[in-house]
Formats: sequence, structure tokens, C-alpha cells
Amino acid sequence: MKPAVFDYHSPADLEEALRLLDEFGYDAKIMSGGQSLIPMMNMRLARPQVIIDINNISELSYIQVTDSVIKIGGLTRHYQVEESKEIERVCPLLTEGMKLIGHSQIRSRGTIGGSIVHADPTAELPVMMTLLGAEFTLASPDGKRTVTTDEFFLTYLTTTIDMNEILVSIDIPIPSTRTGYAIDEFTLRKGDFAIVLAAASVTLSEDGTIASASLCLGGVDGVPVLLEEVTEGMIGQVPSTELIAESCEQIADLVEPEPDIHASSEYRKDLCITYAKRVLERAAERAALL
Amino acid sequence: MNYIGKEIKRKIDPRLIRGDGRYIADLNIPGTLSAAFLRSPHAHARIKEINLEQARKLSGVTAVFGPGDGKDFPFLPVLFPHPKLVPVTQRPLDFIVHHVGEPVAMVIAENRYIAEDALDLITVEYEQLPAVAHLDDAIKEDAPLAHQQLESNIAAHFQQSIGDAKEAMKDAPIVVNHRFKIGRVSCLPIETRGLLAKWDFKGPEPELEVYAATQSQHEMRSILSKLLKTPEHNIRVAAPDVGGAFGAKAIFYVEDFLVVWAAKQVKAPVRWIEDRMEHMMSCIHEREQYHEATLGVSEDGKIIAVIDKMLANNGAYVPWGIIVPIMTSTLIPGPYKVPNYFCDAKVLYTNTVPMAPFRGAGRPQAALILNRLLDQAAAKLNIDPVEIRRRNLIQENEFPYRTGLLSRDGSPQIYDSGDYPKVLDEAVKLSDYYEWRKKQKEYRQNGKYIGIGVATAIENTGFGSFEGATVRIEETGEITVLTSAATQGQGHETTFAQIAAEVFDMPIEKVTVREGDTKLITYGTGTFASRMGVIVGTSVFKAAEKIKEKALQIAGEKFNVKREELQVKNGYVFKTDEPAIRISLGELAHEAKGIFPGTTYPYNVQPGLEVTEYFAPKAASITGMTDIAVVEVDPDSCAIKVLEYTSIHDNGKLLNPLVVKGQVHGGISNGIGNALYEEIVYDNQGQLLTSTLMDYLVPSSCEVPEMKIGHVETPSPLNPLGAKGAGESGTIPVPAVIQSAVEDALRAWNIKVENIPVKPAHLKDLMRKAKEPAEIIL
Repeated sequence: MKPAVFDYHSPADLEEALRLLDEFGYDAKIMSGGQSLIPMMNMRLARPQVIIDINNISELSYIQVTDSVIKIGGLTRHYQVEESKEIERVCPLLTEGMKLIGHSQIRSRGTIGGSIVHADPTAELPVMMTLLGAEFTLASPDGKRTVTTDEFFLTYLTTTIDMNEILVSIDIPIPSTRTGYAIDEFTLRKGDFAIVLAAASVTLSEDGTIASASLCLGGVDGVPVLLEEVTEGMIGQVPSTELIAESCEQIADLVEPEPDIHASSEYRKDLCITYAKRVLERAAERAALL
Repeated sequence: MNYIGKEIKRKIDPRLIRGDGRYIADLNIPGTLSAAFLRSPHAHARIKEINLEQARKLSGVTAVFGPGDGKDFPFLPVLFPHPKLVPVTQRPLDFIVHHVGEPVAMVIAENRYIAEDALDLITVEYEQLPAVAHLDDAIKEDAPLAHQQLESNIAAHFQQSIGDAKEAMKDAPIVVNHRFKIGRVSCLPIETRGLLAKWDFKGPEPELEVYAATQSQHEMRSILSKLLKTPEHNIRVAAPDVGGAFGAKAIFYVEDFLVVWAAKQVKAPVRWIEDRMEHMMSCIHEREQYHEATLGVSEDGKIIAVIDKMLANNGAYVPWGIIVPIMTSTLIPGPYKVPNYFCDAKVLYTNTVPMAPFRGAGRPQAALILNRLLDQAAAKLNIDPVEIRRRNLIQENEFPYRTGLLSRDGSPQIYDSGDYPKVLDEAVKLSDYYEWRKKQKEYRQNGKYIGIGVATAIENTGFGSFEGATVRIEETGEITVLTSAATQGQGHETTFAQIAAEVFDMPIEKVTVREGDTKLITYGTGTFASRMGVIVGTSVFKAAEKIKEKALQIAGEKFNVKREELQVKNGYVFKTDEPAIRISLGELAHEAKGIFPGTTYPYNVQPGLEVTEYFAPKAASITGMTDIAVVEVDPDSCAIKVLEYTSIHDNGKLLNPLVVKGQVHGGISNGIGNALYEEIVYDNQGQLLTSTLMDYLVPSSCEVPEMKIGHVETPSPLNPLGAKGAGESGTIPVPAVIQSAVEDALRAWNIKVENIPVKPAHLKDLMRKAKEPAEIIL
């Protein structure tokens, strides 16, 4: 369990990192927190010839909260988001979801950009980003482009990011005031990758009916899955356990999760329904309190 | 008693906690090369072609060895032969591989990085052979053969019996059944396997030093001596700090032979440190068994007969005989009075990692069978599960108790001592059992499903054949204890020091225990089967008593007083009624050497204050335990949460209650892993699906519940300390108690939980098949 030979570069700024990336192309791999890349290299499942370590690029580590958007730099560590009071104030879902990521050791090292680019469909960040409608800014020597989560996540561990691009910034729109959020997941042990992960938002109108709602599941497909079919029928209705339960029953027909040694497809479907109900109910309760 | 039985903190901990331990990977011997193994990706295959040339050419590579180099290699020895066993042991670098992970080639290089680079350059052409991995496949008539030269996959087929179970079962008014599908687990010590071998050819005869993460340095020396045709006295095997073992390091592996052999070929020290993926695919596994068991009881819940049919997976080879299924088959009756018993066991070869004893060694499986059958009988008779156990336990006045079975060494199985009803009662009390039963009913009405499981089990500990200890009084007045044990974190350095300190009535700080090295003491067998406290402890006690007598005799002669007038305390021998007449132990050690060379030795005993004693126990000392668990199961997700865990153990006279508590704690944590999380999974072609700790789920501190632990002390009459083993007992009842509790929680669905580990996905499947929750009448 030792990595194959690689060259190591540690650029001091983004410009230098992009130049190196352009030079080495597919032979290079960006290393940020190293929480997935290093084990993969040690098992020789990944054999990059060049490592571009971006940990010294401090310009990529920041959290900025404006009236309408949260901006997070790609190199920001999980714990920094988890512990940000400002984020907790404007987007408590993020705070709640960050705590579900691995263990504190992983959160102290792992980065937001790294997890998003790794694109594990059972990871918390891709699901939260999808639910929240985040946009990602990718930088390359040719400039920057901004993509939606829908454009970004392609399938298991695969994104639209080009070989000469770095995810530099994540923009998360701040939700309207009467929106409640919830996230929950089923893991066999604390801190494991989720078997099924569910996140929901419910926005209430003045009259207490549902103005809008979204539900996003992880662990059921190659990318996070937004289930509009489940939530669209809830709009205009008063939230209730029965309404949510009824809406969620159709999930069994909407998802076709792959089985593995820990969970059959049937079981994952059951979990999807259970957790979808839980997060929708919780989100609706929270919205009602706002 | 000033030292024995006292809660004394372990001497070893501050050093290990500070990171000052010295393991195989930390040894710094100049010129040491690294070994790495190419391992088979196939479960059963013949190597048609292997090309080592590219690897040999890589800069930094010293040597590369393949099957062509190993044509004369011997088979590993058959340990624990059995008349019913068709033994197949492993041969290093054979042309046929019998499980995924078996070594195919070995690289010796400057460092492990280069060695792994070289592995990438080896090309192998395999001819795949039909493979078999699962028990239900291996038993089929037309099953692929795990070993082509055998007629079937059956490694052994044997029976155990008491009375006439089949006949008695016919008359039993109540008959219940239960099936068990027990999964396979890894021992998983934190420190993986590893060794460093160094030859010295400069002396009159070649001499070999091996530093190994081993549980049995003496056994390793003996096997190396036979395989390498080198006399034992030219081999030293030493275990430095060893980071856990649990059975994994009691085995002699092909890698052990190959590293030592390679060091001789390349004439340089060679070290191999197993990585975690290698560990999962080549270090022994255990537990995998299927059972179909039947229990017949009377109307009042008394056991009439037990019949069990067992299939045990053995993996590809027998590194330690068929000890595990034998142990299971002889311990199914356990603490209960079973007048009629029959067990039919088939042990099967498969193309998987070999099975050998892992902490618990067949006993957790045994504990499941009758405890879970009694659960079924209790439900049928509408008796409380605790009550049905109480009615069947062997009573305190029935010891020594003859079960009617034979032990694993062929002698009649006799339980030496115990008080199982008291152990059960203490567990019921400590766990607030009846209180939980009340709460359970209330919770059910609120849609909260909790279950309570109870299991009583035993362990036969402190097997022979023997161990030994040398106790020496140094001229500094300190005591040195050298033993044949090896320690992997059991706290020997403290417990054995307590025994010597007790005999000499002196501070424990003055006693130093050293072990894990063949140069310290001539003979030994090793740390396994919960036997060190009992056997080495007794050896230390006897040697210390003898040397104390000798010190008293020398002092008596010196002062010209009778031995009876003298006593030993705090490092001095003194006259009881005239304490001013005294001599320190250090001075006595000096006297015992003779004052000057060339003078006449004045005492009527042999020179030297050093004695070696070996102790060979007549039989195993039997420990008893009862565990009670309260779990909650979420009926939607089937997530299982252990709310409370209580465990009462009778480990005989406790040498150090703190150390025993740690052992029980660790054992239960281990058992929680077995019961709820850990499983090595192969597909039916023998491909390993759990080769990393992402897939093989070990409980962390977040999953291990708080535990209430208590003790009952019934001294063993088989040794002067009254001690019984404590290293494994924690693990034994856990699968039974968890399976029982989970089934109890989901009683409304009327499902039978038959699997170990108990996994939420499987429970949900069972619930889906079951009807809607029914009303519970209890």
C-alpha cells in the first residue's frame, strides 16, 4: 500500500497552479485535502504522474456571506463551514449537513472543493449543493466559467470539470425567509459514507400552505437526484404527515438504486422513503417556526 | 494479599500511549531490505507462466522469487492433527493457488515503494480452475473441488454425543428449532503481521535472528528449525512490542518462511510488514459456520435433548487443525445440563483464507446455539428467558461436573468449578432486567421497539501443555521474571509482577517482567486460549516460592537460625522476633554467588538465586459469564442501537481486576463488531469483496455501548492462584445476546433472526416477508 512514483509541485498561487495543470494535463492530479486521493494512490487505484498540491493557495480559502449569496472558496476546509456562525444563520442546512461528513479528523483536513469534485453520489456536499441550487466557478488558463450542479455532476465520481480546470468558488443562493431545511442519512456506522442520504427544503406561504418544496437523495444513482415528482404535488397544500407519506410512496417507482454488500436495492428504496419522509416533515416543521 | 487481586494500573501504558513503543516496523537494523508479495487475484488457479525478468531489472531491486524458486519448499507442518482430518497445509510459492491473496512471487528491494513498483512489473498467466467459496456450495455433490487432489471438499466429518439424543427427542413434549448462519470475520489487530529476519554466517554455525509480531516465539522457532533444517539452538525468535493479535499471530504463515528464507539468499536482513489489504486477504479468518439445531424440553422447560448439525468453513488450508469446530461442538451444552446431545459436524475446504482460532475460537458460535434455542422454547412455553435458563443451569454443588463429552485433547470434559446461577442472578440485578421488561411493554405502546437479550456461556481456559518462568533475585535486590509468554497488550508485565511482588511482599516497582524472546527461557508454547494468567502466572508463583525458600535457607545458614524464624518483606530477610537481624535480598543474591572466585562456597544449597519452573495444568479451568443487552430497533430503517449492555464474568480469582475489566471491555467491543458490523464477504467464485476497512465495518467508539461489568469469583482448584483465563471471555456471549435482543425487539413481526452479524438490511427483508405487527401477549 505505497503509491507509485509521482512528481510533486506546490504552487503558491492560482495562476501558477493553472499553469502547471495546463502543462501536465491528464498526467496531473490536484491535491487539496487528500482524503480520497491519498488512499486511492496508496492502493495504486490512482497513479497520477504529477501531484499539484494546492494547499498553499490561501486565496482559495474563504467564506463570504452577502445578502443573497454564500461564497465559499474551493480550498475551504469542512470544519470551517461547519463552524461558521454566519452560515449557520443564513443556511442552517449546511451546518447540519457538514456534521454528517466523516469524522472530525476528516473534516479538519478535507476541503469543500475536493469533495464536490470527487463527486461521490453518497457524499453530503453534492446532495446539499444540488438541493440548494449552488453554482460552481471553474478556473482555467482561458478564464472562468460557472456551471450549475445539474451541468456539473455527470455520473459516479465524474464531473464536467476539464483537465485544465480548478474548482475555485462555490456560490450558494441564500434561501427565502420562510424556508425550512433538513438533512438526514442512514449509515451503518457513524461517519461512514451514507447508504441513503436525503435533504429537503419546504417554503411556506403566508397562509401556511406549501409554496415550494424540494427533495434530493444521495446513494440512489450516479449523481444526486432531485425528485420534483414527489414535491410538486405538495404545492398549495397544508403540510401534514399524511400528505408527505403519500407523496413519498411513489419514490419506490422513481429510483432504481444499485445493490451492494451492505444494502439491497429494495432496502435502499425503503430507506429512501423513510428518510425522505423524515426530512420533509422536519423541513416543514422548521418552516412553520420561522 | 497485598498485590494479587489489586487494581494496579498497567506499567506498559505510559510508554505505549506516548508513542514510545517499538514494533517490527520501528526496528532499525542497518542494511535491512523490504519484502513485498505479489498475491493471487484468483481463488483457484494454476500458474502457467510467470515472468520476473522486468521486475529483477528495476533499480533498487535485490531479488525476485517465484514458484520456480520454490520447487523444493516444504509444506507447512500439520498442527493439531486429528484422526478424522484430511489435512492440507500450504506450500510456499506453489504453482497452484487456492485462495485470492495467496503469495505468488516475492520481491526484495531497498524499500517497500520500490518493491511494490517491481510487483507491477511481474506478469503472470493463470489457468483458472473451478473455485468454491460458500458453505452451501461446497457441500453440494457436484461442487467444484477446493483442492483438485481430494475426493470431496470435506476436510473432516465428526460427531459428539451424550446419551441418545435422537431417541430422547422423540419423547420431548416441546421441540423447537433454530438455524444459524454465522458470518466470517477477521482478527484485525491494529498492528498487522510482520517480521524481520537476519542471518549471521560469520560464526562457527549459521545463526538466525527473527524479530516477529508473534504470539508464540517458541513455536515459531520450532517450526523454522524444522522447515529450514537449522537446529533450534541456532535460532532466536523475539517479539518486540506487538500491537494486538487475537489469534492472527499464533499461526505460522508462508510469509514467515519466505522472509527468513529470502534473508538467507540475499545475505541481508529482510523485513516484511503486512499492509491492511494483505491482512484482509491472507491473514486467518474465523467464525463462519451454519447450524441447524433442535431442542427438546419438558413442559416445565427442562432440557431433554439437543441435536445440532454443523457445517464449518475451513478455508483453503488447516494451519491449526480443526480446533474451532471441535471447540464449538464440545461447548454447545455450555453451562446447561444437557442429558442427551448429538452434534454432527462437517468441516469443508473452500478457496478462501484459512480459518483458525480468533479470540473466542468457536465458543461464540457454541454460545449462540443453545441460548437461542432456549429463547424459542421460552417463547413457546411462555416462560421468561431468564427463568428457563435458571431451570437448566448446572448448580454450584454439582462441580466438578462431567459433561459426558471429550475435550479437544481427548480427555473427559470436566468443568472444575463455577456458580452459574449466581452469575446469572448478578447480571439480572445489575442490568435492572425486570425493570426493562416493564419499560419494554410501555415503549411498545408508543411505537418504540426495544428488545432484551440474555445469554449464559462458559469458556474452557488455561489449556496445556505447559508454560514456564524463571525468577531471579538480582544483586540490586530487584526481582527479574522471565517467562515463556508473549504479550500483545494483555498487561503481563504488571500481572506477573504482582504475583512475584506478592510472594516476596515487596513493591511491584522492584519487579521486572521480560518475555517474548526464546533467549530468555528454553521452552514455551505461546499466548493463546486464555492461558497465560493461569499457566505462566502459576509458573511465576511456583518459581518465586522456590526462590524465596532458597533465600530463606541461605539467610538461615548465615544467621544460624531456623528457617521458620525468618520471614521476607520489603526486600529483606529478617528474624521475625528480632527484626534487626536482617539481610537484604540483594546481599543474599551476592552471597549466593560465592564471595570471591577461588573461595569455598559456604552454603548447603546450590549457588545462584534463580529458579525456573514449568507448570502443566491437568485440565482447563472453566469460566462462566452472563450478558444482558437492551437494544432498540427502528422498524422503518431497522437501525439497531444498543441501549445498555451488562456483563457478569466469573474469571476465577482475579489477579488484577483492572486488567480483567479491560479484557472484558475489549472482548465485548470485539463481540459487538462480530454481532452487528463485521463480515468478510466472498462472492461465490471466491473473490473477496471486503478488502478494505471501508467495506469491512469495524465498530468505532461511537458504536460500542457503555457497559456495566461485574465479577463473581469462583477460584479454580486446578492451580494455586485459583485463576481462570480472561482474555477471550468478553467476546463469547455477545452474538447470542444481541441476536436474542433484536429478535425480542421485533417480536411483533414474529421473525426469526438467524444471521450473525445481524444487519439492518437483512432484518428489513425478514420484516417485509412477515405479516403486519401482531398484538403481543406475554
